[in-house]
Amino acid sequence: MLNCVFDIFSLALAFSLIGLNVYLSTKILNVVDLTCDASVTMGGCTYGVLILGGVNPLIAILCALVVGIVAGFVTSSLVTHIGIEPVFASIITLTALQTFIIKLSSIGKILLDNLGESKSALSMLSSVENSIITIIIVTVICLIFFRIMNSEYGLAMRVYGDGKIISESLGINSNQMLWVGLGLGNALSAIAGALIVQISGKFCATMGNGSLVFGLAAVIIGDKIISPKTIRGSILGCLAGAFVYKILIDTITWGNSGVLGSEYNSIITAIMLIFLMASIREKDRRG
Amino acid sequence: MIRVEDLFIVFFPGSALERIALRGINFAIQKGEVVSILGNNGSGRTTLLKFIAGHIQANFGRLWVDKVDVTSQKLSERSKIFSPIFYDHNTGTAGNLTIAENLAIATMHHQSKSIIEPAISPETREMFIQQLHDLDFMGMEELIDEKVCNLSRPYRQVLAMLIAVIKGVKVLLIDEHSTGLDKESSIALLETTEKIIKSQKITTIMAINDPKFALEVADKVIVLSHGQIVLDISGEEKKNTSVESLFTSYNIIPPLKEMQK
Repeated sequence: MLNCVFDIFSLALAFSLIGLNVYLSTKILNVVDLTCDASVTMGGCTYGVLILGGVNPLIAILCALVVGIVAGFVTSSLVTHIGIEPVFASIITLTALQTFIIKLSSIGKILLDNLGESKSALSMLSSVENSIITIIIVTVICLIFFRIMNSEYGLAMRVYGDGKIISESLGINSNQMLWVGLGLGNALSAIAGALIVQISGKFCATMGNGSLVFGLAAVIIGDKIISPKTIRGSILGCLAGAFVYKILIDTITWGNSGVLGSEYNSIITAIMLIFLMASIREKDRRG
Repeated sequence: MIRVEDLFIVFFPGSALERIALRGINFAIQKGEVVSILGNNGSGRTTLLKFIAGHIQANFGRLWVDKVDVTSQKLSERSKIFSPIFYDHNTGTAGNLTIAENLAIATMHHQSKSIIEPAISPETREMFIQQLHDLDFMGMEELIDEKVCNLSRPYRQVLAMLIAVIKGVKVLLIDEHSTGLDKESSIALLETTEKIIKSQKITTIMAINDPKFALEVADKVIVLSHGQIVLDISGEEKKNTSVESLFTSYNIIPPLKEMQK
């Protein structure tokens, strides 16, 4: 029971990184980046396979990070070099990455079969230890993210969200900003995936599905609770939003023995998003 | 220093909507010169300025800056030379950022900082406040942390000019930046514009609907009509020309507030 609480806590923290990715792409760069789902899975599977292969966890998480950055770069290169709309570019990347994801997860299965025991090979740490590791990693990432957002790159990325003409007129290389932004965002998602695998002790080809919606929910709930004016506020908002959302979902569908089964996750998320969006629109209308 | 050569711009070529906006524009501007472009709506002034700024491409013709052909340069490269202060204030300032952050983007051109260094240090903030204070424009320094999209247009236009000055661009391009403002802010904006142009000795190409300002501040006047230059005067010749004579001889319709006098 207590372990379960710790796991939910650390999972919420990990998911808040996806929230940061969504915040970065939708609120700052003003593009819709669906690569997020694939980066979470890719990051998770890469981490999982490497750990099962006996690689040092720190190196494994760095590999996950690199995989995320590459995924982001693929999407941004499709946008900047071929001129595809970001939404479609990210769908293409998403589709392409699916092959690698299935490959990785089948390698993972083989490795697991060879090892025999499933859980112990992947996470030899207790829930508490996992929580501590997650807290450290997420804190460090949030601090770095905060610094980057307050640097000239952060400002330039926010100008990118204002439009291409204005950013180019101010002398900003808008293509470069998209690369930096999507690379950074998907790196965050990939690390989130790695952390999720570390905490839950398992990975599969569908583990990242719906994470974009989770991130979106985290950002919107965070906006609702904190209504941030600054970058610091927005980061805290993502954390708070991820927590509220995760706890809400997990209490409703508590280990398949709660009020509703876990298959209701999606519909609950959708309904909640509708209410949140409606309440935000209502607030906007009143001014 | 700046030369526009045989410039043709055609909108929707080959279609039923085809319209020749500029037909064979040629002129040259010396360093530090202030050029005023006069003409009615639809005469091609905005098109000309947008071409120089790099927002639209030419069908034919070249743009030379200091004997370098910049016609096919990318917008981000060209923005090191030209700064647009257009009617649409979204081309000169970033609405999502505060005044201080906009100015920080402008300083980026001189000293690039690393990815984890804060863009605005307390010293640069003080410097920005001082610069805004020196401009003395309707208490702008107090709004330094306000998001630019919440500011009214005169502030955004002044900010765009300050950004241009900080960036150290060679040429200001002003297009109707004071149009549609009330009388007080329009006068204040034009005064500040003049102050910036004169104190920085910055080369300026402007299309401003205030004929007196356009003639007094400018060293050179170009009159456009139906996409062609019909008059190009400077120096003594310009001094001896009155606003009224220009307007009547070239059929320029003066703006509303002039007519009401």
